[in-house]
Amino acid sequence: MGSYLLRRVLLMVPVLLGTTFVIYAAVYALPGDPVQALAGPDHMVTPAAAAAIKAHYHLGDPFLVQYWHYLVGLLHGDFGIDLNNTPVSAVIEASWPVTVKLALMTWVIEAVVGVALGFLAALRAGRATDIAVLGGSSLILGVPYFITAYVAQVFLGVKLGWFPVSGTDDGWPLSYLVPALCLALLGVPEISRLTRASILENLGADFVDTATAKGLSRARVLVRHVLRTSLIPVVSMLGTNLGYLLSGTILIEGIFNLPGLGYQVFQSVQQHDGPTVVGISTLLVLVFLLVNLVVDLLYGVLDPRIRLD
Amino acid sequence: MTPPPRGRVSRRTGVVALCAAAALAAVSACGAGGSEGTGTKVPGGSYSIGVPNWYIAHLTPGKAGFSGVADAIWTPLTQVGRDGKVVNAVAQSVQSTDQRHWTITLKSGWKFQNGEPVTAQSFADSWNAAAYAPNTMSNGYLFSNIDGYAALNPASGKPATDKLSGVQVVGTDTLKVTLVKPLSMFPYVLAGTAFAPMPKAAFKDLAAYDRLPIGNGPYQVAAPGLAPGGQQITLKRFDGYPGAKGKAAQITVKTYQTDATAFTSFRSGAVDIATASGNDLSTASRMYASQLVTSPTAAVVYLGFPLWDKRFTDVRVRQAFSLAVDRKAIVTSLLQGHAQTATGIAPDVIAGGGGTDCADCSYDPAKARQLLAAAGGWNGSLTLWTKQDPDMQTVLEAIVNQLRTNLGITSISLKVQPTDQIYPDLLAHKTTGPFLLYMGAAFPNIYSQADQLFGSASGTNVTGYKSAGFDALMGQAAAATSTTSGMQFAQQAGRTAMADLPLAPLYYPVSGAVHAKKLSGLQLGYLGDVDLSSITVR
Amino acid sequence: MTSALQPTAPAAAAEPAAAGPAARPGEPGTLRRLLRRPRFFLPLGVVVLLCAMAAVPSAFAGWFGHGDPHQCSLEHSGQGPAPGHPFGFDVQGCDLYSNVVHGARDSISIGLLTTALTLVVAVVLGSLAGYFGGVADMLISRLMDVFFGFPMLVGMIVVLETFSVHSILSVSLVLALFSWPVLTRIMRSSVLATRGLDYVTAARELGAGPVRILLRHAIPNAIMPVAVLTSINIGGVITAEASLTFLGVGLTAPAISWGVQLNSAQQYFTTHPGLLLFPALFLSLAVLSFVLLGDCLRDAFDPRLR
Repeated sequence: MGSYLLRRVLLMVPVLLGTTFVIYAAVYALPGDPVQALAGPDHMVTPAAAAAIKAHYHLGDPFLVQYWHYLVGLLHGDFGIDLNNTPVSAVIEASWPVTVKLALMTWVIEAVVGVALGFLAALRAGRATDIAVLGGSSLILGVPYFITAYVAQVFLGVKLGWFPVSGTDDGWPLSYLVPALCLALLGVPEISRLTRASILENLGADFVDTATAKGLSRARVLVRHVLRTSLIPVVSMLGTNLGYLLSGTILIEGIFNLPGLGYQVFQSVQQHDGPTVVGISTLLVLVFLLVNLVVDLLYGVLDPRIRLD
Repeated sequence: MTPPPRGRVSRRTGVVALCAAAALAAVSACGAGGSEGTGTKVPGGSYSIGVPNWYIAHLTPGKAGFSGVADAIWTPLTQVGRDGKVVNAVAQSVQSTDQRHWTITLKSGWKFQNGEPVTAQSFADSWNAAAYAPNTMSNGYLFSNIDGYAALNPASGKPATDKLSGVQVVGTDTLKVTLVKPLSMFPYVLAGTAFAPMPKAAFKDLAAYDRLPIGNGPYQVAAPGLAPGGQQITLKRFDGYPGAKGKAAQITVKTYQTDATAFTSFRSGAVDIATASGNDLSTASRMYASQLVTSPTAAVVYLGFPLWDKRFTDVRVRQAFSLAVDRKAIVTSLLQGHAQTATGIAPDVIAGGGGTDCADCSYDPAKARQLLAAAGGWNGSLTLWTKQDPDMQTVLEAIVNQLRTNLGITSISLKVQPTDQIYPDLLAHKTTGPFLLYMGAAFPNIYSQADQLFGSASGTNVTGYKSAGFDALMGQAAAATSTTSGMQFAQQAGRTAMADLPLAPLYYPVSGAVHAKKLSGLQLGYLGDVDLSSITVR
Repeated sequence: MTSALQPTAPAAAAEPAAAGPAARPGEPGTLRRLLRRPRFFLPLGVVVLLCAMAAVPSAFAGWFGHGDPHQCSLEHSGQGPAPGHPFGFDVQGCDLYSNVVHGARDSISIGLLTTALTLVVAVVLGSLAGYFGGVADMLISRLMDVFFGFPMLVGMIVVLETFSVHSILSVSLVLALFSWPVLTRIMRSSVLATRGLDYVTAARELGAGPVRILLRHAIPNAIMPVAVLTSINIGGVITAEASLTFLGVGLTAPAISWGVQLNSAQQYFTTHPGLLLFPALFLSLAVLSFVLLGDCLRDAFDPRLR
């Protein structure tokens, strides 16, 4: 177990390095002049001012030197300084609570609704409930979630006025409800389908027959044996989903004006604020890797058949 | 209440402290605010306004964008009144005999929001800081006409001095300014936010000042100012303000990524005032007729021609393009009447604007085809450019369709660039076709528009236009003894440029803002900015 | 959504299919059986129809007499349905029906092109990693990890901002750049499973070279789970293109795609809901058909999930 953990953590190092390198290179290659971006569109930049800006952000150095500076800073926990002269870590500190709240809420909705629907559909396989769940989830898959979000904002928020649909003034959970529901539409169909398939597979397995033969009640068999075993692939998908949710928030946070990481990163891309883009991306990758590690460890807890070594 | 020192606190406590500070200031940027926000009862009333991000991204005179928010925080020497005339604010008088050497005296009794008196030195300090290249203040170029600017911005190396030689402090309330070239419009220039004063306290930590400024305007930024990654600031009325005091006691300034999100937020009740642009303006005029204020903007939207491109050197080609665009259809159908067809470079809301200066700004597709044929016709493909802005893109799409139909150019495409790319590309002559852009007057006088669009030293002369005749007339305008006679020369200069048609003016935009029912007295400035201090909360 | 925005979703779902030796039911029989099921032939019909629409839009656009999507007149801006214009007009005064029909070409081209690119990369890299293992496997797997953990939307936006040209090709390239690991991972595990099969070992012992073994045995055997996923992938890519364009970094007018139409419909949605509704309807239909088709194929070729 210990050596497994160590190996996994060590494997994360090249991945993290690779990711920061890719994103740093992409940001470096952005057209347009960072000096001009910094000064604002309609402003003239004098050579002296340009030189000062370049020196401040090491913009004059070759790419690899700049990347090296960045990596060294990162190792010291320094995410660099953004184009507004604010430490990127401060920007992250201010925006991560919003994204974490949104992502966790979405995740819980996905997990509860997805598993419940899948469970229900599997028990009623082939009947009306099953067909309704499958059909409904296909429909949701077909409509891009940003369109749903946009329409929900106009109808639920503006026309009916039932929910707050802009900003975080109403706090958690009210302000996050509609955005989280819309974002959850991404995951619910997949989760419910996977749960359904997984349960159906296990219902026919030998251990279920054994348990039933032992005289256990159907409910007990379903919950203790079938559901628990069936949830293993679902947990894996939920884990990766949580990682993706964090970056999937770009569109949703933009539409609902939530000042989270996705909002910041999109704005930074538009302003060509490289340090912020790289910083937030690095953080997202790190979270993704950690979540996956935790999921893999959870495997062992859920399914005693799997041994980690 | 100051933000906790960063770095010394752990990450977790840092966030908690920030949230606590923000909650105390009735700002719920951390999302933990709960019931605080726009509904809080404050004596004198409070309201919230939605603005673009750049309004509050920087809050130093040398860096701030020119906006209603900046106008609330600082009061410069002069101000532009509702009628477009320049009036003294902090200045007692602004005088010159040769339009090059200016003597400015200050009124007494003006104070910064921290109690420090506003003196001639406060202005000199602010201007020096803005012009000094190593400070990299984005408004610094506005000081290029002041003597000594070149010394602060050498072509290479560190400047030898950090003071503008053309700015002399003579006593606490007198300032002498020497310009490089005469400029009769200088009193207008002084009204810009870049020329606002800064207190001594600012120079202890310019970075901190940029987030929590101390101004001399009717409103002060409440601590903690703009939190890193923050999305809003709170303004509190400054009761020691000697001018017309702000009506509301407190204003929450919230930023939005687009005007459209701000408008949607207004509709859902999350913000009290929002800009309505594009189609939202028509929506607003239908749904919020009594809560909508519109005003013509001192700006022009034009189709510029790349004069460095040999396909556009023949004036007949440029005339053909201009005549092939149906301005009226764009204004009535696409913009739903929320604009005015352009016949020159500025509308009549600014001094010298509104004249029919452009002979080829009508719609005549037959003549357009004739002119193009006479100039040798069109071969190959055409690319049109604009900046990243949904309204501009929509208008350019209509122009693409009209050019295709009226000039028979079939291979035609459209490219969109962010603003920080399109301007440098244009100035480097890299853009490969006509471009749709917006130009707002820096001050409400046609001189400003003419200079920005066609002046040979202007950073926004993107067509690459150069004309000795135009430059001579603008020189006369700058040296004129009054802003009025200066304006007349500038009008002539504008007509000279329009005859060469380096760009085809299309329309003058209209700005609009919607406000909650509880507010009254909303007024828009000449560039469509909301005057924050005149709004009353019922 | 599937694929480009959330690559692991189908990957995880398909993992069981990939893990075991690919089930190879008698193909002609399976196909004939499939064709008799409405769950299969309905989406297949829609996909064929949409592809025909993408190939020759003018054949469909002219049904109501106004087939030219570029024939626009501002006086009709935003008007509702009229005789000859069943969907009404867009804000530029162009016939909306004809535009939506023409939109199929760019959207579906991007879906197919991206998936084709992804497929090529997946087959090549997946076989290399799965068959040879060792250093090649390690390098390819780490590279996959890099792109797996990547916040894709951020990456795609940044790379697209870098390209000054936003054409079908550049958008497809960017989408493929961030979606290849999904299929590659499945290809790899399929090849890995095939490698140990008896007849492959036998072929190797008979002196067949790695290229021959890969081409004749490993790839054909492993390609079924990948092919099934490809169909689902197309739907995801179409949505991803629409999302990017919605954010303003994808295609731009006068290119005609559903994403472009949705993007420009945003601000007119409350006054002219049709501008959003019709392109969204076609987009959803396309995505749905590709996804359902893939589902159906998966069920057919992987009986364990049926």
